[in-house]
Order: sequence, then C-alpha cells, then structure tokens
Amino acid sequence: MSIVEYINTKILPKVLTFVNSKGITAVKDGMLSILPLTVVGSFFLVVGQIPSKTVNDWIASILGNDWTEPFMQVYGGTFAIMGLISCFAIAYAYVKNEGFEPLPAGVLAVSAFFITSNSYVVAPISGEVVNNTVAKAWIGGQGMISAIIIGLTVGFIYTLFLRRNIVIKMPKAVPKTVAVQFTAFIPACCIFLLSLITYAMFKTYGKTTLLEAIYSLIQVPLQGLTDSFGGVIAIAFFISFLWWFGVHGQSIVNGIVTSILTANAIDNTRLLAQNGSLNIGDGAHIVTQQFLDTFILFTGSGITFGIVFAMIFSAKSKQYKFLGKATIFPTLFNINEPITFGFGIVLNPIMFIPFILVPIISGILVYTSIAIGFMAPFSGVMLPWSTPGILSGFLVAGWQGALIQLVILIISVIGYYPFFRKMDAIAYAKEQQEQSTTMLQSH
Amino acid sequence: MIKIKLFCAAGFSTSMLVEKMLETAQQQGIDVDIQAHSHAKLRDYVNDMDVALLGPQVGYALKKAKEVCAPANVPIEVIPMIDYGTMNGENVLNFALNLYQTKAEQ
Repeated sequence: MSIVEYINTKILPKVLTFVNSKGITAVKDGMLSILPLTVVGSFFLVVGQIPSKTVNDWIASILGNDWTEPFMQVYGGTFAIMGLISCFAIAYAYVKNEGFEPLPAGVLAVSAFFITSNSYVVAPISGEVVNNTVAKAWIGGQGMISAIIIGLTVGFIYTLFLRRNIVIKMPKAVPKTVAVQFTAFIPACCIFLLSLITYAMFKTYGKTTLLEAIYSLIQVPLQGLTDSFGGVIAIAFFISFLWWFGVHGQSIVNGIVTSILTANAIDNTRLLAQNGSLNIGDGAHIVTQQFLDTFILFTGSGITFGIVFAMIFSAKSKQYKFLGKATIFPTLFNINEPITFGFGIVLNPIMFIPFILVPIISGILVYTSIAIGFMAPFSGVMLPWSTPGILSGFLVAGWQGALIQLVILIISVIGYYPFFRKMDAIAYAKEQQEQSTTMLQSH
Repeated sequence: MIKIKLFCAAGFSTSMLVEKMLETAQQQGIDVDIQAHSHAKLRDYVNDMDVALLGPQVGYALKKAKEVCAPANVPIEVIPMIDYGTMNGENVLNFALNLYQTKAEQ
C-alpha cells in the first residue's frame, strides 16, 4: 500500500469523522453565525481608533473630544461580548443540527454561562469588590473556550432530554411556540443544577470559577500554541495537505482554529482599545484570524496565483490557456476550486510540493515581518476571506500588508512555475497526440 | 419545475457552477431552479428541493447529508471532481437530472 493510499483509506477517514463530529460542526456553524459581529464590528473599532493623531485631533476639534465614545460602544457590544454570544450560537447550532427546536437551548446556555461565572468585579487598582456586575473580560475573548465547552454541554444535555422524551408534554391544542417553552423546563432544571454544582465546586475547592480555570488551563496554552512559528506552519500545512486529498482544508482547519484565532484577535482589539497602539511587547498576538484569511488563503488555498499567472502568460496547451482565462475572476476573490480540481492539484504528485510549500513560506514571511516590527500586529479590521488581495492586505495592515501580499504573489509565481511547466508539457503533448490521431483517422 | 440545490463549504464556488448549469438549462429549454448554499444549511432547504449535490471538497459530509435527505426523499450525491473543476455545467446538470429521474422511477 502506498503512503497516499494509506493516508486516504486509514488516516483521513478518522480525521473526517472527528471534523464531522457533532461538536466540531456545531462550533463551526456557531462561529460562522457571529461573523457579522467581528467583520462589521471591526469597522467601528477602526473609526474609533484612527491611528493618525492629526486626523483624530481634527475630528475632535469639530465633534468634541469624546467623539469616539459611541464608536467604542459598538466595539463593546460586538467584539467585547463575543464569548457570551458564541456560547448561545454554539448551543443553538448543536441542537439545530440534531433536528430539534434550538432557541431554548441557546437561551439556557447563556444562563449556564452566567451561573458558572463570578457576579462581581475586582477594581484593578483599589482592589475594591464591586458586586452585581458582569466582568466584560470574561464574556469577551477570555471566555471563548469556556463558551464552546458550555455551549456544547448544554446542547448535548438538551438534546439528550428531548431524544429520550424526558419533557413536560402539552396537549395538542396548545400552540407550538408555547409548548416548546414547556418542553425546556426539565432540561433547564438539570442544566441549572449542574451549573450550580459546577460553580460551587470551583469556588469551594479551587477558589476560582469554571471560566477562569478553563482560561488558564486550556485557552492560554492553545492561544500560545497557535500564535507561534510552529502554529503558522501547522495551519498552512494542514490546509494544503487536506486539499491535496480533495477535502476542503480551509473549512476543516478553520473549524478547529477559528475560535482560538478569534480569541487572539479579540485580545489584540482589547489592547488597541486600551493603549491606542499594538506592540508585541504588550502581549499582542501575531497569528490571528486575519493572518489566515488575508495571507494564508490569499488567492485561494495553496496561494495558487502562480498557476493562474503561468497559464495566462506561458501556457502552450489549449486546455490551460482556456483555464487561465476562466480562473482570473474567482482567483481575485480567493476562490480556487477550478484550480484544485480543474488544473489538477488533488492527488497530483507533481503539484504536491509547491502546493504545500508556497503557503508555508508565505506564512513564515508574514510571521517574520510582524515579529521584527516591519508590519504591525493585526488590529481591529476583520475581513471576509473573499475580499480581493492587495486591498485586503492594505485594509488589515496598511501599505506594509499590501506589500507583503505582493511579495507573496511573487513567491507563488516562482514557486509554481517549474511544476506548471511540467504539467503544461504533459497536457500539450497529449493535445498534439490527439490531434495527430484525429488527422490520421480523417485521412 | 425541478429544484436543484448545490452545497459546498460556503456556497461560493458552487454558485459559479450554478451559472454554467443555468446557461445549459436555458439553451436546452429545461425548466429548473438551481441554487448554491453552504452545506451547513442543508437541513433548512431539505423540504424545498428535488435533487441535492455536494461539492467534492465537502464530499466527506455525504453520509450525514444522506441521513438528512432520506426522510424528505431527496437524492443527494457528490459532484464528480473533474466536472466540478472544469465547471462543466452541462455534465453536472445531466448528473442532477439523472439522479432525479432514477429517484422518480423507484
């Protein structure tokens, strides 16, 4: 059995079973539904944090010094409460995918989230305890992994009760919307009790809360793991590697890392809102969702721009000349299925090396340019991954971002060219052969 | 009218294929309604379609998708990789219509 066959028949099905599992699917769907908050919310953060003092002062002279405050309110209601909203969305998605009415589960998850958290805040300088308050740090980025765990647990328990039919049943005459709320009573009771016990256990035995424990034991290590040189290489590698087997690598890798990369991005926005600027020294993260969407997936998974470029300018075979023209537009929007399937990257040994290496090298380039201070860490702006390149680079990281994207295009052109030549030569020879056979036949 | 729905990761690349399929359908005078969606939305549309197709890149979700589609009696299959890559609207349309017919004959 060849290694490719081995991976395809033994390893990949296991990976896909995991990815397809109810939990990962719910996290993926839930995180997808909060996208408007990060993408649209980010624009308000950017307006509230214009990096130029001159511009700021000029606007302040017209609108007054506190003009940014309403904009920061939008930040406070989107980015800053992302954990809480994810928790709702994940429980909702889980139950929806199980085919039950999902709204009560989302609502219960929010309750569970609050029951297990502290209801006081300690003032940073005086140390004074303020009771009956919600600590925004915990319902925001720091509560992200807790949100996933609570959201999934609530979704799971809720589904379990409904599936076993352990619910209060209403007569048929009761309208469905009313009946659904009664359905939730027994699972709600169980979920609240469980949350209560969890809260009490953590308080009594650990002098902490579930959220704080998860944050320091799981989330911080995970954030550190992704936000590293190795993290970048692993992310870039797996996206390409899975795509090479014909599986949507971007969607799978995103399903696993998006929550963590979003937490990294939220940390950055919080630092930006606090300090007005971002520095690695202050704990700003290098690898955030923008790193992936705007640079690793630039022109499509595998950064296949080089193939399109070569097809347009140097293809000999008719097949690739045609494909070159057909793929310009999708490539502009970072969509490259016509390349992965149509040019033939999937399971094609010739294309394996550049398809894996071009994104890894590009990732290293982006990481290094932030680490050495050439490019600032990514701040508020979050763009959908389909935003056209150069523009996207400029929007997330200024002219440096656009320049780095340009360099990535060059890396892609150089990296793919020799392999493209080989593919084109094969296609060309085949076309010539077909032509001569048809000519022979017609004579 | 036959309702065909295509599902991929986000519904972007399938929407390109939808355009090609609609072109073919129009040329051949076939009455179809074709749309592209994210495969996370499969459940939402299951009662509003006659045939469902999955992009090859989300082919791993076929087993689960079949479970969702079976109660609604909707046939679902993965689009052949080569037709998907070359955005061959004609082949994929025929593929979908064949699925529909086979199901109808059963």
